[in-house]
Amino acid sequence: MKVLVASSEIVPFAKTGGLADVAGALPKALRRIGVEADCVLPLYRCVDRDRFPFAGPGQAILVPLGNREEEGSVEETDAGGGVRAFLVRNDRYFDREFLYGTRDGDYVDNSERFTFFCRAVMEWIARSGRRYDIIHCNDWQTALLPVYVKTLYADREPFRGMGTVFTVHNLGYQGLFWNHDLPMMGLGWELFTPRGLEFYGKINLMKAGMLFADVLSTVSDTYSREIQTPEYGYGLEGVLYERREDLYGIVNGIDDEEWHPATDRWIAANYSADDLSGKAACRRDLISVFGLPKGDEPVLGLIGRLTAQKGFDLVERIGEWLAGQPLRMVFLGAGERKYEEAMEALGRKYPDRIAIRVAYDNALAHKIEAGSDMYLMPSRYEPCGLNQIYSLKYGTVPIVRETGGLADTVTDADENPATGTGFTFRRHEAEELKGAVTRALAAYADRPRWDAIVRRGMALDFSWEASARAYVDLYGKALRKRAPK
Amino acid sequence: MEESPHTRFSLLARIVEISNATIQVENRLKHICDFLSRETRSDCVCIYQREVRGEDLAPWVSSCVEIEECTLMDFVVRPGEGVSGKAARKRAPVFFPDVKTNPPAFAVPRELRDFTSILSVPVMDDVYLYGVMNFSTLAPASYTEEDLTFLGSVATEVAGTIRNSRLYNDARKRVSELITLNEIGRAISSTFDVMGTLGYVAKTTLRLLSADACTVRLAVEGRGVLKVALDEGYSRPGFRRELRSVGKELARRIHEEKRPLLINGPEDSPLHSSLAGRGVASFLGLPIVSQGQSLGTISYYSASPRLRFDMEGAHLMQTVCSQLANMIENASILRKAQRLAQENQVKVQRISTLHDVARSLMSTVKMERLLSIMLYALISPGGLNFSRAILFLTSENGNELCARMAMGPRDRQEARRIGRFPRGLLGDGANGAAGEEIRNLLWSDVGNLTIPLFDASCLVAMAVKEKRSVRTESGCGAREGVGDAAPRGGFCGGHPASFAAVPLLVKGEARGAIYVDNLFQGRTIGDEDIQVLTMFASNASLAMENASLYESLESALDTVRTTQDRLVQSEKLMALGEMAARIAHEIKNPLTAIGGFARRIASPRAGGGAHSPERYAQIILKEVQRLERIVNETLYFSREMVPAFRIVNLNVEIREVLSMFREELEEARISSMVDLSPDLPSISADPDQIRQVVWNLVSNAIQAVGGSGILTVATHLSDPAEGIGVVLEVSDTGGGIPHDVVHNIFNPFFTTKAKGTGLGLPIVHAIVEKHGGTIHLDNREGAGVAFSIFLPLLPKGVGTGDRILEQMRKSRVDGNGIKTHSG
Repeated sequence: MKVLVASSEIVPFAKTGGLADVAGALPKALRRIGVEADCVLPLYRCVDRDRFPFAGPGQAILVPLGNREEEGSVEETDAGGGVRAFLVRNDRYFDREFLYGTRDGDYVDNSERFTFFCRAVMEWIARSGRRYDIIHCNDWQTALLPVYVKTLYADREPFRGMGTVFTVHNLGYQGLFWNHDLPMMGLGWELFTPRGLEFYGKINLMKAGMLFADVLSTVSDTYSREIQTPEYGYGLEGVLYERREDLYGIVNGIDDEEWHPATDRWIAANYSADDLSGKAACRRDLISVFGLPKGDEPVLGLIGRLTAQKGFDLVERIGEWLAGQPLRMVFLGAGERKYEEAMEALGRKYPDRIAIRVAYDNALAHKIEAGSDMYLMPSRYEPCGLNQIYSLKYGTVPIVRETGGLADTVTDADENPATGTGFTFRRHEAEELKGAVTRALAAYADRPRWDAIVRRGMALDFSWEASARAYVDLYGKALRKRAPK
Repeated sequence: MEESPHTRFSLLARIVEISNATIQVENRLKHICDFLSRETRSDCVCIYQREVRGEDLAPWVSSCVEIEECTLMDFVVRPGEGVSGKAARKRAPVFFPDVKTNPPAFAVPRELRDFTSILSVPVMDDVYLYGVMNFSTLAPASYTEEDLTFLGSVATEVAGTIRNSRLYNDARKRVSELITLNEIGRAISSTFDVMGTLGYVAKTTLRLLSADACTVRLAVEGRGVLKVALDEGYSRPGFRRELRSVGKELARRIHEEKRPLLINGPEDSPLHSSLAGRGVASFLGLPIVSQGQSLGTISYYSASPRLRFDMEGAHLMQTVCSQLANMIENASILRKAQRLAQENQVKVQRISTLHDVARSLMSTVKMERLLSIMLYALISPGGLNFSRAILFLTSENGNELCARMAMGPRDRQEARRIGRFPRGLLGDGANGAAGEEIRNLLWSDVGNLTIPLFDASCLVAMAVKEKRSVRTESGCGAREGVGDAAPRGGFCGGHPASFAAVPLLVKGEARGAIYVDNLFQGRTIGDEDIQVLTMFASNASLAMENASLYESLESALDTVRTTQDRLVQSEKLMALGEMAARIAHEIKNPLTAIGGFARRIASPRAGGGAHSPERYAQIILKEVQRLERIVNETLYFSREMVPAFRIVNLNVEIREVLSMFREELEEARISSMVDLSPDLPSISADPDQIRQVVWNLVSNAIQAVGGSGILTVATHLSDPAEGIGVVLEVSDTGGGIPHDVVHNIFNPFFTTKAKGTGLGLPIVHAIVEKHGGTIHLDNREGAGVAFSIFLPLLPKGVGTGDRILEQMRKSRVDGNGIKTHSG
């Protein structure tokens, strides 16, 4: 099986969010389990051409764009781990400072840029004679690929029988565009209906991907069900519900090289489930870095964007209560001003209990994951979530809201004494969160039980290989859907 | 505001930077508002956008720092209304410094509900007003001239940003329209599927114009009315129903005026209020015109007050409509051509069917078989293809129609089997296995199926009475089981609602009728069916007439044959009688002579006889010879006339025969002229038969002359054109042969004589023919008749020509033509 992972951002070439991590890690993991996987992304200005030299001259392509043809080329380089990366080049579109827009807003021609990208990928495949069994597309930027495979290129080799998988990473960005961009995309107006690409008078590319891909996936099983409801569906719950038979959830893997307590280079001492003594050293290190007083009270860690999505409205509301509990709290992150200010005020008020660092700091993030005893993640919604997985890996017991990937990765230790790996709460309410923290503190007091919870979490497999196998299953489903009956 | 010029310069630089960024225009304006609200210490900076049509100012972007729920984005500002409306109308900044301490005499504008002070700056370039930019503060504010100049520059920059963005969007929209038009053009020109194309065009243009609903109406061919061909859009429930009547009215107008109609307000049409009352803000309708003829209309409705159709849209759609018109026109031409071709094919099919039917009807003259062929022609798929057929004939007394024969499947299964019968079955009627199949289709039980002709309600009876075809789709109107249903043998209740009857007319007389229906086909019987059926009926009547004529002809022929047989028998007897009389007559004289002389010899009279007994004996001998000859001649009739060819001198034979008629000629006082050519060559012939010929001709002539006339017998050489041979001529003055019987004279048994056998001339004919000769008859009615018989030197194809020629070289003919040597 040959797989092409198409994404608008891929580590180590370009990254603005978690999508780049997934798109970077998945092809490598697929290679490790014996699946031939390549990846394709636009050649942005930020791609380091010294680190990733192009293999020979790029392949020139002509890309139809509405009533004109845009020139472009596809460069090839080594993404590491045996993965070939193909970079779609058109400097007018992609040689820019940012990927999608400036700090002030999205680029005005984003629909054209990513239409070009998708169409270029199609033309390049058709022209280069490369045969892929599966194109794995991610989010709206690559959502036109399944549409093209099923419409404009349906009768052309090698697209006949090619399977398409579309993964939704962030439903919040759907790629909504002016309806007059439809001819530019090369699509007929017959597709522009509420049953088609239309979304309240606009073109919705995310919807297009959902409609045309053979198989859909999102980054956790629970999230895949949640988005079929109006509460999480961002208006696309109907489409997702209709395609529920083809909608799957696969939790992302984590980068074992970057995030493993036994090899982590950012933390004070390495440790493993067999020998947790290093974790105590990490805790001491963390406390000193954040300038909190030494003590036995558990440390509660929290990293993330300061937004209501991450549940900071709840944290803000129970801030006073938390300060009164037998614990110390370290926080790292930035985001909405009002939460930043609220958290800073809390830190100022309880300097010996709560430490705040408004910043993004990778080293500090590692220290928090390793040095905390508990990790708080009260997200309003969480498609997958990685920090709770890091926490499990680092023996830091997560306290999470049962939503999306959090629900799929963390098992409540009270409800499932034999398998529990953390503490969960259901409703997005302050009292519920308080209850979960209280139960965690109670468990912490019972050392043998706590150690068992910690070790169970550390034993879980969140490697990318596991996720890759799940994706290979999905590819098989997509191919079976395409196979002539 | 207390900025130095330098600060203003850097502020402006930042604004220029933002407004030229490559991000969405809303983002840019938002950032300009954000930036200005910080830098001018305004609590809210917002931009109202002028509507594309009209002067209304609609909220667009705002940056509100202090107010939690700013209401500035909640309302549309009417022209001249409030501070913004005034600024827009004046095209100049309007400042309201302090509403709290200096309340205005008029009502506080809505813009100041949450604020104390507001500065409204028009966003415009040198031509067009794009909107206004408002700077609102909670506290009283003041602006210097420099401030106002600066903010004016900012507003101009914003105007430029909006203009650029509009141009950019216009260009994109244009390209989009262009591509779409191109696509529509391609779609239209690549098919003749009118409805499919209309559907595609409606869908596509609906989106292109951002309309909410679209209806296509097409003119019904031949009538001036429009019919809805398809609707598109109408997602709001009830919308279609509400628009039906006003939409129809508008479409009719467009159709009649053949002009596009754009309605955006009451000034465009009095119907506007009717549209507006049904939630339509804008209407665009276009005729589909081809060659000055409106083929239909397309109507677009917009429910959104923000979206109004314009002339650009109208022009765009006119292009589409003219393409559509061409396409519809072409499709209609194609359809007509196809229909014509189809009609022709149907006609050819019909004609060839009728031809086949006619041929098969002519294939027999036997009535039973003809009727069965007729019925099968009616129900066969290769024929007229009805389901069932019944043949009625008028009864002898003319009061009833009696079913003569009926054919057709009894159930659907059988009907399906007939459908699979080979087409060629028609011609060879009732042969073999196929014939068996067809015979199976005959109904054995039609004998008692009768229809009284006086039954006015029966359409079959009516067809006969009125001598015209009848067809109905709704039965014959007679109720089942009522009144005289019984005499019809259940016929009335047994036929389907759709059937037809045609009369069988012979010489204008209705001899019966054919009833057909399509019980198992569900196909209605059409006018064309009736046409074919009528033609068939006249064919069939003819064939039936033929058959019945033939039947009577045959019986007449039988009678003739019997009579003829009898006649022949009596002729033979008569011939025998005549022969006996002739023989008796012929032998009477010799016998008398023989008897007399023999008696003389036996008892010589004394003194009475001067002659010696030798003399008497010689006479007796001579008479005996004569008797022998008579007997021989008589025997000739009983022999087969196979000639025995010898070298014969015709003159000699003639003289011999004439000598036998000497007495007869004298008795009848007929003078004979004998003109025998002395140069006549000998011919190869049977002398006995030649003598027979002469004898018969002379005997005929004597009988014809009756008394006192002239018999001429002559011979001469033949005209070389006729062939090498001799000619015998026998003519008389017996008045000739009557004209009307002259052609019969060589027929056996024909005779004009009271006692003739009628064999004379036939024998002559037979003999001459056997000799390879010819008979020429010169009949002058009222005068006489002359037979001229040519006999060739050598009969053709007869035996040993070489030997005869040899003999002829050896023989010598003397001057008198008398044979001197015979072999």
